[in-house]
Amino acid sequence: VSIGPLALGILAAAGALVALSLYACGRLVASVAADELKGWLPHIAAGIIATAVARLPETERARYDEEWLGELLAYQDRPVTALIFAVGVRRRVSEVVNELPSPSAAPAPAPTPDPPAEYSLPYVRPWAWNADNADRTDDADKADRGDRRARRAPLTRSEFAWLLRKVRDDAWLTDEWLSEELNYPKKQIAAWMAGTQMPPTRDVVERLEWLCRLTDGLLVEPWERLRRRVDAG
Amino acid sequence: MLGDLDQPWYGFELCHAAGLQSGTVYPMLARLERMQWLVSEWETADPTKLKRPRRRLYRLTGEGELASRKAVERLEADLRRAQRAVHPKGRTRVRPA
Repeated sequence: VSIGPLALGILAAAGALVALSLYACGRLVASVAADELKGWLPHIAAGIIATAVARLPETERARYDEEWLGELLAYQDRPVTALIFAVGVRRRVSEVVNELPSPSAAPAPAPTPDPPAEYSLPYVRPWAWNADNADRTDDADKADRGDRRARRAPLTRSEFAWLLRKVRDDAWLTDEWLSEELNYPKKQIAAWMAGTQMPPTRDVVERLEWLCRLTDGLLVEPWERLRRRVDAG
Repeated sequence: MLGDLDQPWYGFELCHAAGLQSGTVYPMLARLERMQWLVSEWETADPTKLKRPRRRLYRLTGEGELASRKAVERLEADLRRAQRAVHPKGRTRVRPA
Protein backbone atom coordinates (compact mmCIF):
# COMPACT_ATOMS: atom_id res chain seq x y z
CA VAL A 1 0.00 0.00 0.00
CA SER A 2 1.50 3.27 -1.02
CA ILE A 3 0.69 6.53 0.81
CA GLY A 4 0.89 9.68 -1.09
CA PRO A 5 2.70 12.80 0.19
CA LEU A 6 -0.61 14.52 0.84
CA ALA A 7 -1.86 11.71 3.09
CA LEU A 8 1.48 11.72 4.92
CA GLY A 9 1.18 15.42 5.56
CA ILE A 10 -2.35 15.05 6.92
CA LEU A 11 -1.22 12.19 9.18
CA ALA A 12 1.68 14.25 10.57
CA ALA A 13 -0.60 17.23 11.21
CA ALA A 14 -3.12 15.00 13.00
CA GLY A 15 -0.35 13.51 15.15
CA ALA A 16 0.92 16.94 16.12
CA LEU A 17 -2.60 18.03 17.01
CA VAL A 18 -3.12 14.99 19.24
CA ALA A 19 0.23 15.56 21.00
CA LEU A 20 -0.60 19.21 21.58
CA SER A 21 -4.01 18.31 22.97
CA LEU A 22 -2.49 15.71 25.30
CA TYR A 23 0.08 18.23 26.57
CA ALA A 24 -2.62 20.85 27.24
CA CYS A 25 -4.79 18.30 29.06
CA GLY A 26 -1.80 17.14 31.13
CA ARG A 27 -0.96 20.71 32.15
CA LEU A 28 -4.57 21.33 33.13
CA VAL A 29 -4.83 18.13 35.16
CA ALA A 30 -1.48 18.79 36.91
CA SER A 31 -2.50 22.34 37.77
CA VAL A 32 -5.87 21.19 39.16
CA ALA A 33 -4.18 18.40 41.12
CA ALA A 34 -1.57 20.81 42.54
CA ASP A 35 -4.31 23.24 43.61
CA GLU A 36 -6.26 20.39 45.14
CA LEU A 37 -3.22 19.12 47.02
CA LYS A 38 -2.37 22.64 48.20
CA GLY A 39 -5.90 22.94 49.56
CA TRP A 40 -5.62 19.62 51.34
CA LEU A 41 -2.16 20.12 52.88
CA PRO A 42 -3.34 22.22 55.87
CA HIS A 43 -5.99 19.58 56.63
CA ILE A 44 -3.39 16.82 56.39
CA ALA A 45 -1.09 18.79 58.73
CA ALA A 46 -3.96 19.37 61.18
CA GLY A 47 -4.77 15.65 61.05
CA ILE A 48 -1.15 14.78 61.83
CA ILE A 49 -1.20 17.21 64.76
CA ALA A 50 -4.44 15.59 65.98
CA THR A 51 -2.79 12.15 66.01
CA ALA A 52 0.19 13.62 67.90
CA VAL A 53 -2.07 15.29 70.47
CA ALA A 54 -3.98 12.02 70.96
CA ARG A 55 -0.78 10.45 72.29
CA LEU A 56 -0.38 13.05 75.04
CA PRO A 57 -1.83 12.63 78.55
CA GLU A 58 -5.41 13.83 78.67
CA THR A 59 -4.58 16.75 80.97
CA GLU A 60 -2.12 18.22 78.47
CA ARG A 61 -4.05 17.68 75.25
CA ALA A 62 -6.01 20.94 75.21
CA ARG A 63 -2.89 23.02 75.78
CA TYR A 64 -0.73 21.37 73.10
CA ASP A 65 -3.63 21.12 70.65
CA GLU A 66 -4.16 24.86 70.84
CA GLU A 67 -0.44 25.62 70.79
CA TRP A 68 0.46 23.45 67.80
CA LEU A 69 -2.66 24.19 65.76
CA GLY A 70 -2.08 27.87 66.44
CA GLU A 71 1.43 27.58 65.01
CA LEU A 72 0.02 25.80 61.94
CA LEU A 73 -2.64 28.42 61.33
CA ALA A 74 -0.07 31.18 61.59
CA TYR A 75 1.67 29.63 58.57
CA GLN A 76 -1.36 29.07 56.39
CA ASP A 77 0.33 30.67 53.42
CA ARG A 78 3.19 28.15 53.66
CA PRO A 79 1.41 24.77 53.68
CA VAL A 80 4.56 22.75 53.04
CA THR A 81 6.35 24.37 56.01
CA ALA A 82 3.30 23.71 58.14
CA LEU A 83 3.29 20.07 57.02
CA ILE A 84 6.98 19.68 57.87
CA PHE A 85 6.24 21.24 61.28
CA ALA A 86 3.39 18.77 61.89
CA VAL A 87 5.45 15.77 60.80
CA GLY A 88 8.31 16.88 63.08
CA VAL A 89 5.97 17.16 66.05
CA ARG A 90 4.35 13.79 65.33
CA ARG A 91 7.69 12.00 64.98
CA ARG A 92 8.99 13.13 68.38
CA VAL A 93 5.77 13.41 70.37
CA SER A 94 6.78 10.43 72.51
CA GLU A 95 9.68 12.51 73.83
CA VAL A 96 7.27 15.28 74.82
CA VAL A 97 5.15 12.64 76.58
CA ASN A 98 8.23 11.50 78.54
CA GLU A 99 8.87 15.03 79.73
CA LEU A 100 5.34 15.61 80.97
CA PRO A 101 4.32 14.65 84.50
CA SER A 102 2.87 11.15 84.51
CA PRO A 103 -0.88 11.10 85.24
CA SER A 104 -0.45 7.86 87.21
CA ALA A 105 2.01 9.45 89.63
CA ALA A 106 0.69 10.39 93.04
CA PRO A 107 -0.70 13.91 92.91
CA ALA A 108 1.53 16.48 94.57
CA PRO A 109 0.06 18.31 97.54
CA ALA A 110 -1.82 21.32 96.30
CA PRO A 111 0.29 24.42 96.87
CA THR A 112 -1.28 27.22 98.82
CA PRO A 113 -2.30 30.09 96.58
CA ASP A 114 0.07 33.02 96.39
CA PRO A 115 -0.99 36.17 98.18
CA PRO A 116 -2.58 38.78 95.92
CA ALA A 117 0.13 40.61 94.04
CA GLU A 118 0.10 44.03 95.66
CA TYR A 119 3.72 44.55 94.76
CA SER A 120 6.30 43.14 92.47
CA LEU A 121 8.93 41.10 94.26
CA PRO A 122 12.54 42.01 93.62
CA TYR A 123 14.29 39.92 91.04
CA VAL A 124 17.31 38.84 93.00
CA ARG A 125 20.50 38.10 91.15
CA PRO A 126 23.21 37.75 93.75
CA TRP A 127 25.61 36.12 91.30
CA ALA A 128 25.51 39.15 89.00
CA TRP A 129 25.04 41.71 91.69
CA ASN A 130 28.00 40.68 93.78
CA ALA A 131 30.58 40.09 91.11
CA ASP A 132 31.79 43.69 91.27
CA ASN A 133 29.77 45.13 94.13
CA ALA A 134 31.30 43.49 97.16
CA ASP A 135 32.11 46.80 98.86
CA ARG A 136 29.06 48.83 97.91
CA THR A 137 27.14 50.76 100.50
CA ASP A 138 23.41 50.30 101.04
CA ASP A 139 22.76 53.77 99.61
CA ALA A 140 24.60 52.97 96.43
CA ASP A 141 22.60 49.76 96.18
CA LYS A 142 19.34 51.63 96.55
CA ALA A 143 20.38 54.12 93.91
CA ASP A 144 20.98 51.25 91.52
CA ARG A 145 17.56 49.71 91.97
CA GLY A 146 16.66 50.78 88.47
CA ASP A 147 19.67 48.99 87.11
CA ARG A 148 18.98 46.01 84.87
CA ARG A 149 20.69 43.63 87.27
CA ALA A 150 18.41 44.65 90.12
CA ARG A 151 15.25 45.27 88.12
CA ARG A 152 11.93 44.30 89.58
CA ALA A 153 10.12 41.38 88.06
CA PRO A 154 7.85 38.68 89.46
CA LEU A 155 9.74 36.10 91.49
CA THR A 156 8.13 32.68 91.23
CA ARG A 157 7.67 30.30 94.13
CA SER A 158 10.25 27.87 92.76
CA GLU A 159 12.77 30.65 92.17
CA PHE A 160 12.33 31.82 95.72
CA ALA A 161 12.77 28.26 97.04
CA TRP A 162 15.91 27.82 94.94
CA LEU A 163 17.31 31.12 96.16
CA LEU A 164 16.68 30.24 99.77
CA ARG A 165 18.47 26.92 99.36
CA LYS A 166 21.36 28.62 97.56
CA VAL A 167 21.85 31.11 100.39
CA ARG A 168 21.74 28.34 102.97
CA ASP A 169 24.17 26.09 101.08
CA ASP A 170 26.59 28.73 99.77
CA ALA A 171 26.89 30.50 103.09
CA TRP A 172 26.86 27.26 105.05
CA LEU A 173 24.09 28.60 107.23
CA THR A 174 22.29 26.29 109.60
CA ASP A 175 18.51 26.31 109.66
CA GLU A 176 18.67 28.04 113.05
CA TRP A 177 20.75 30.89 111.67
CA LEU A 178 18.47 31.28 108.69
CA SER A 179 15.45 31.31 110.97
CA GLU A 180 17.09 33.99 113.10
CA GLU A 181 18.12 36.10 110.14
CA LEU A 182 14.70 36.01 108.53
CA ASN A 183 12.74 36.22 111.77
CA TYR A 184 10.57 33.22 110.92
CA PRO A 185 10.24 29.76 112.52
CA LYS A 186 12.22 26.94 110.95
CA LYS A 187 9.04 25.11 109.95
CA GLN A 188 7.88 28.07 107.90
CA ILE A 189 11.26 28.39 106.18
CA ALA A 190 11.17 24.67 105.36
CA ALA A 191 7.80 25.21 103.63
CA TRP A 192 9.29 28.04 101.56
CA MET A 193 12.26 25.87 100.64
CA ALA A 194 9.94 23.09 99.53
CA GLY A 195 8.32 25.61 97.21
CA THR A 196 4.82 25.13 98.59
CA GLN A 197 4.40 28.69 99.82
CA MET A 198 5.48 32.21 98.96
CA PRO A 199 6.78 34.52 101.70
CA PRO A 200 3.94 36.62 103.05
CA THR A 201 5.79 39.91 102.95
CA ARG A 202 8.24 41.62 100.75
CA ASP A 203 10.49 42.23 103.77
CA VAL A 204 11.45 38.55 103.77
CA VAL A 205 12.57 38.68 100.17
CA GLU A 206 14.46 41.91 100.70
CA ARG A 207 16.09 40.47 103.80
CA LEU A 208 17.12 37.47 101.74
CA GLU A 209 18.48 39.69 99.01
CA TRP A 210 20.54 41.50 101.61
CA LEU A 211 21.74 38.17 103.00
CA CYS A 212 22.78 37.08 99.52
CA ARG A 213 24.91 40.14 99.06
CA LEU A 214 26.33 39.89 102.54
CA THR A 215 27.10 36.21 102.37
CA ASP A 216 28.45 36.27 98.86
CA GLY A 217 30.71 39.20 99.62
CA LEU A 218 31.63 38.59 103.21
CA LEU A 219 31.14 34.96 104.08
CA VAL A 220 31.77 32.72 101.11
CA GLU A 221 34.99 34.31 99.91
CA PRO A 222 36.78 34.42 103.34
CA TRP A 223 35.66 30.86 104.02
CA GLU A 224 37.07 29.74 100.71
CA ARG A 225 40.35 31.58 101.33
CA LEU A 226 40.61 30.07 104.79
CA ARG A 227 39.94 26.61 103.47
CA ARG A 228 42.54 27.01 100.74
CA ARG A 229 45.11 28.11 103.37
CA VAL A 230 44.27 25.11 105.54
CA ASP A 231 44.41 22.78 102.55
CA ALA A 232 47.81 24.17 101.59
CA GLY A 233 49.07 23.37 105.10
CA MET B 1 16.63 33.92 74.75
CA LEU B 2 19.57 35.18 76.77
CA GLY B 3 19.96 38.12 74.40
CA ASP B 4 16.79 39.79 75.65
CA LEU B 5 15.32 38.35 78.81
CA ASP B 6 12.19 40.48 78.60
CA GLN B 7 11.20 39.19 75.19
CA PRO B 8 9.02 36.10 75.23
CA TRP B 9 9.45 33.51 72.46
CA TYR B 10 6.98 31.17 70.82
CA GLY B 11 7.71 27.68 69.55
CA PHE B 12 7.96 28.29 65.82
CA GLU B 13 10.13 31.35 66.39
CA LEU B 14 12.51 29.27 68.50
CA CYS B 15 12.66 26.60 65.78
CA HIS B 16 13.68 29.25 63.25
CA ALA B 17 16.17 30.95 65.57
CA ALA B 18 17.82 27.69 66.58
CA GLY B 19 17.63 26.18 63.10
CA LEU B 20 16.06 23.04 64.57
CA GLN B 21 13.01 20.98 63.67
CA SER B 22 9.82 21.25 65.71
CA GLY B 23 10.31 17.64 66.78
CA THR B 24 13.56 18.61 68.47
CA VAL B 25 12.46 21.91 69.96
CA TYR B 26 9.16 20.91 71.63
CA PRO B 27 10.56 18.02 73.71
CA MET B 28 13.34 20.40 74.83
CA LEU B 29 10.81 23.06 75.79
CA ALA B 30 8.78 20.51 77.75
CA ARG B 31 11.90 19.34 79.58
CA LEU B 32 13.12 22.84 80.41
CA GLU B 33 9.65 23.73 81.62
CA ARG B 34 9.58 20.66 83.84
CA MET B 35 12.97 21.67 85.26
CA GLN B 36 11.54 25.16 85.83
CA TRP B 37 14.19 26.80 83.69
CA LEU B 38 11.39 28.09 81.48
CA VAL B 39 7.90 29.28 82.17
CA SER B 40 5.18 29.47 79.55
CA GLU B 41 1.94 31.36 79.36
CA TRP B 42 -0.70 32.18 76.78
CA GLU B 43 -0.42 35.41 74.87
CA THR B 44 -2.73 37.94 76.44
CA ALA B 45 -3.52 39.92 73.28
CA ASP B 46 -6.98 39.44 71.77
CA PRO B 47 -6.82 36.87 68.91
CA THR B 48 -9.63 38.65 67.03
CA LYS B 49 -7.50 41.77 66.88
CA LEU B 50 -4.36 39.82 66.00
CA LYS B 51 -6.33 37.85 63.37
CA ARG B 52 -4.52 34.68 64.38
CA PRO B 53 -4.75 32.21 67.27
CA ARG B 54 -3.05 33.12 70.54
CA ARG B 55 0.42 31.76 71.02
CA ARG B 56 2.10 30.00 73.90
CA LEU B 57 5.00 32.21 74.99
CA TYR B 58 8.14 30.93 76.67
CA ARG B 59 10.41 32.91 78.98
CA LEU B 60 13.57 32.06 80.95
CA THR B 61 13.31 31.97 84.75
CA GLY B 62 16.10 33.28 86.98
CA GLU B 63 17.30 29.74 87.51
CA GLY B 64 17.18 29.04 83.79
CA GLU B 65 19.09 32.19 83.00
CA LEU B 66 21.85 31.30 85.45
CA ALA B 67 22.12 27.74 84.16
CA SER B 68 22.13 28.78 80.50
CA ARG B 69 24.74 31.46 81.09
CA LYS B 70 26.95 28.87 82.75
CA ALA B 71 26.39 26.49 79.84
CA VAL B 72 27.33 29.20 77.32
CA GLU B 73 30.45 30.06 79.33
CA ARG B 74 31.44 26.40 79.43
CA LEU B 75 30.92 26.07 75.69
CA GLU B 76 32.97 29.20 75.01
CA ALA B 77 35.79 27.92 77.22
CA ASP B 78 35.74 24.59 75.36
CA LEU B 79 35.85 26.40 72.03
CA ARG B 80 38.75 28.55 73.18
CA ARG B 81 40.61 25.45 74.34
CA ALA B 82 39.97 23.76 71.02
CA GLN B 83 41.12 26.86 69.15
CA ARG B 84 44.32 27.03 71.18
CA ALA B 85 44.98 23.37 70.42
CA VAL B 86 44.64 24.02 66.69
CA HIS B 87 46.51 27.35 66.62
CA PRO B 88 48.86 27.44 69.63
CA LYS B 89 50.13 30.96 70.38
CA GLY B 90 53.82 31.75 70.13
CA ARG B 91 54.60 28.58 68.30
CA THR B 92 57.48 29.10 65.90
CA ARG B 93 57.89 27.24 62.72
CA VAL B 94 60.73 24.75 62.84
CA ARG B 95 63.04 25.34 59.93
CA PRO B 96 64.73 22.42 58.31
CA ALA B 97 68.43 22.24 59.08
